[in-house]
Amino acid sequence: MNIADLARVRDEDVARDPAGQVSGAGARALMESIMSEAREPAAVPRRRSVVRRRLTLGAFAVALTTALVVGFGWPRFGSVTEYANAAVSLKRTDDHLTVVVNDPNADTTTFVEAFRAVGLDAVVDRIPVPPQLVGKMFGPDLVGELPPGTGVSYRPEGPCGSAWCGEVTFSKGYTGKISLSIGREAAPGEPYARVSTVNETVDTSTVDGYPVRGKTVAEVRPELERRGLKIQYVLVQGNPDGTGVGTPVGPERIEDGHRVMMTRPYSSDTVVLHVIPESDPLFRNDVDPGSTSE
Amino acid sequence: MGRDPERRFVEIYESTYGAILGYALRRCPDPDDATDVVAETFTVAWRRIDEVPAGDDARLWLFGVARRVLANHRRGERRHEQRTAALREQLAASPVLGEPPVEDYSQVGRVLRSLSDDDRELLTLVAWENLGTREIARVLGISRNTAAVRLYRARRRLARGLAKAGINHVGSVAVEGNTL
Repeated sequence: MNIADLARVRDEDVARDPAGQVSGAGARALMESIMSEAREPAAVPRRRSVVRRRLTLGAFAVALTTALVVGFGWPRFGSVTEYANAAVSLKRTDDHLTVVVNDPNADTTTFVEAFRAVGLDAVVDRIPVPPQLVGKMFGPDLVGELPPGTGVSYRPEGPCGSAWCGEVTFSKGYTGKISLSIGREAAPGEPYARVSTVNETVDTSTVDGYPVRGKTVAEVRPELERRGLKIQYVLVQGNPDGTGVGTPVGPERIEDGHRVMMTRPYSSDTVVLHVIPESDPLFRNDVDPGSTSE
Repeated sequence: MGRDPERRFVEIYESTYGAILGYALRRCPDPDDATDVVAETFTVAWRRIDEVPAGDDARLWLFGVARRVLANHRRGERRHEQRTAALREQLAASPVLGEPPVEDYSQVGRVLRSLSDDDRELLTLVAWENLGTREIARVLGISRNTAAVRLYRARRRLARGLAKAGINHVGSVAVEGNTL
C-alpha cells in the first residue's frame, strides 16, 4: 500500500466538495472576515520595558511564594533565565525551555507567574481527563506566530521525579504565548478532553483492568453493564490492502460475535469499543484472542 | 511587493485555499479543527502579506505557516471562531470532508505514527502534498541538501519500522510514486 492511501481526504475530494470551493459561502465569509481586520506589523515589538516590569513583579512574588530565581538580566528578553516556585521549575536558554512540573495541582496563576518570570506569556487551563491522567500536563504548546523556518519540538527527559519533565525547543525570537493544560478530574459523565496523549497513554486493551481485547461483544457487554458502564461502538472494517476504517455506529449494527480490537474511555460512565467481525482480515492480523488472559 | 495588499491577498487566497484546506483536513482529527488551522494560516498571510513570496512559492510559504499553526494546535484546544462558522457548517454537511474522524488500523499507519513528528511530516509532505525536495526545503525553511538528507533518513526509519513490524515493504509501500 501507499502512504498516500492513508490520507483522510485527497485534493480531488476537496476540489469537488462545496466546502472546498473558494467561491463557496464558507470560504468567502472567512476571507472577508480576515480582510476586515486591520493589518498590523507581523513582528511583535520587543517588550523590554514590559518584561522588566514583570521582573519586578516576579521578584516581589518570589518573597511571597518562596520561588527561586537565578540569572537576572537575560540579555535577549531582559528577564530571568531560571525560575522555580511550588508549581513549576523553568530554565530558559536562547532557544529552548526546560520545564519541570513540581505540583500539577497548584493554582494556575502560579504557573502563569513562573512563565512570565522567564519572559513568556502563559495560558494555563485544566481539562477533563480519565482518573489515571489527573495531574498530568499536556503541552506546552506555543500559541501565535513563529518566525519562518522555525518549529517547535518537545523532548521528554525520560524518567522524571516530578509530575512532568521535558524540554521545549523554539525560535530564539519567539514572543508569543505558551499554552499548557493540566488534567483535572472529570465530572460524572463529562466527556474527556480529546488530547492525543489520552489515547497514547491509556491502556486500550482493558477497561479498568478487565481485559476486553479479542473477546466477543457478547462476552464483554454483560461485564461492562454490570460495572455500570454505557458502551459506544466503532465498527471497524478492513480493506484488502491492510488498511481499516472505523465508523461510529449504534448498537443495532453490532453483532454478538464481533470482536473487540481496542477500547478507550469516553467519560466516567461510558467506554468506546472498537469492534470488528471475526471474518474480517484485519481481525486475523491485528487481534489475537489467544493473547488475552484474565 | 508594493502592490495593493487587498488584491494580492485575494489572489493568494483564491489560488491556495483548497490546498491549505486539504493540508489541514489531512492532519486534523476533526474537520472543525481544520477550519481553525485554515483561518489562522490565512490570518498570518493577511498580516504579513508583504512577506508572502510570489508565484507557487506562496503556496509553499503557506504550507510552512500551516505546519507551525498545526503544531501549536492541540486536539483539545478548540477556538471555532465565528468567522469559521459558515465553513464549519459546510464541512459538516459534506459526506466526504465532514465525515467523523476514523481510526486508522493499518500496520503501515501505525509505523508512520510511530515515527517522529519531523519524519512523519516530511513523508506526508511528499505523499500527501506531492512536494519535491526543493519545495519541502521551502516549506521547512531549510536548504535543499538538508531537506534531501532529512528525507533520506526519514525513509530509512520508515523502512526499518516496516521491517520491524514484519511488513515486506519492498514494492508494497510507495512514497513519491517510488517504491522504497
